[in-house]
Amino acid sequence: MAYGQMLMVLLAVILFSTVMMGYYNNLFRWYDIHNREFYRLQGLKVADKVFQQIEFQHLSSGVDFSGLYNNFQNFTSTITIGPADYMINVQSAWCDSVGQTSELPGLFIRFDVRIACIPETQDTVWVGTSNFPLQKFVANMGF
Amino acid sequence: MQSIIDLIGATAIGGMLLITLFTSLITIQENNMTLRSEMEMVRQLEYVSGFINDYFLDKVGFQLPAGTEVFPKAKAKHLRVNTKLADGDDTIYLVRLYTAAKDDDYGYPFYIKHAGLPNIGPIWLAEKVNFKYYDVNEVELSNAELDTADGRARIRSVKTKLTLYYGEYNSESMVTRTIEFWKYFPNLEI
Repeated sequence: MAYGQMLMVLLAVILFSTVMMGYYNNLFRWYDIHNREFYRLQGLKVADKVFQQIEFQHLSSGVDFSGLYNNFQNFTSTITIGPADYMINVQSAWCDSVGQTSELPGLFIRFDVRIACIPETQDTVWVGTSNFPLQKFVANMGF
Repeated sequence: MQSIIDLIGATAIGGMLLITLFTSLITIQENNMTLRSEMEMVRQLEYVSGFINDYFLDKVGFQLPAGTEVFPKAKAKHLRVNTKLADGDDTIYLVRLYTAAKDDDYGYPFYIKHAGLPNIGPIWLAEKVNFKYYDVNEVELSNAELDTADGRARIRSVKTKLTLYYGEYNSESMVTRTIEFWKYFPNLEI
C-alpha cells in the first residue's frame, strides 16, 4: 500500500472517529439534560409540597398570621428521594400588595422558596435560585 | 502480487471501518430509544401525579356530609376516600386508589376506581404504589392508628410514591423512575 493510500485511510479513520465522538457527545449531553429535567420535576413537586404546607397552615385554625410568618422564617429542611437530596430553604418576608418587602408586619407575606437538588452523580440542580426564587404570596383574610 | 496485497489490506481496513460504523449506529439508536422512553416515562409521571393530586384528591373534605368517613381505608398500598370530584357535581364518590396482585409479566397494576364513573387503569408500575399518611403536625401515622376510624380521622396529608417503568418488566432493558408527591387537605382543618 502506498503512503498516499495509507494517509487517506488514516484521514478517513480520524474523520469517522470525530463524527462518532460528536454523536456520542451530543447523546450524553441530552442524557444530562433529561436527568436534570427529571430532578427539576421532582424538585417542583417538593416546592409544591412547601406551598401546600403554607396554605394548609394559613387555613388551619391552629396558626395565626404572625405564626405563619415565624414558621417559615429561615425555614430549612432536607428530603431524600431516591439517589438525590432535596435541600429546601424558605424565607418569609412581610410585603405590600405587589410583593415589595416592607419592614413592618402587614396584610401580606411573601414566601421565597429555593430548592437545591443534589444527586449522587451530577451537579446540583436548582429549583428557584437566590435571585429568582419560587414565590407565594399570602394575604391575611382573617382566618 | 503487490496489487493483491493492497486489495486484501484495503478490504480488511474497510471492513473494520464498516463494522465499527454499524456497531456505533446500532448503539446510538439503542441509546436514543432509551432516552426517548425515559422522556416519555417522565411525562407520564407528571401526568399521573397531576391527575391524582389535582382531580381525585383536590376536594377531599369539601362539603362532606356529617357522618361520612373521609378515609374508609388508609393502607400503604390502598387508599379509599369519600370526596366530591368535578365542579358542579354534588355527588360524593368513593374513590379507590390501589395496586392489585403482581403480574409476573407486567409488574403491579395500579387502578383508580370510583362508582358511577369510568375506572382508570391498569397503570403498570415497577413497584407497588406507596401511601404514607401524616397528621396535622406532620407526624406519620402508624398502621395501628390507621386501622381505627379515629386514627384515619387525623389524616391531614398523604405522600404518594409511584415507580413507573419502561421496557420489558424485570429484564435488563427495564428502566424505572420514581416520583414522590404530597397532598395536603386544608378542607379537613377549616
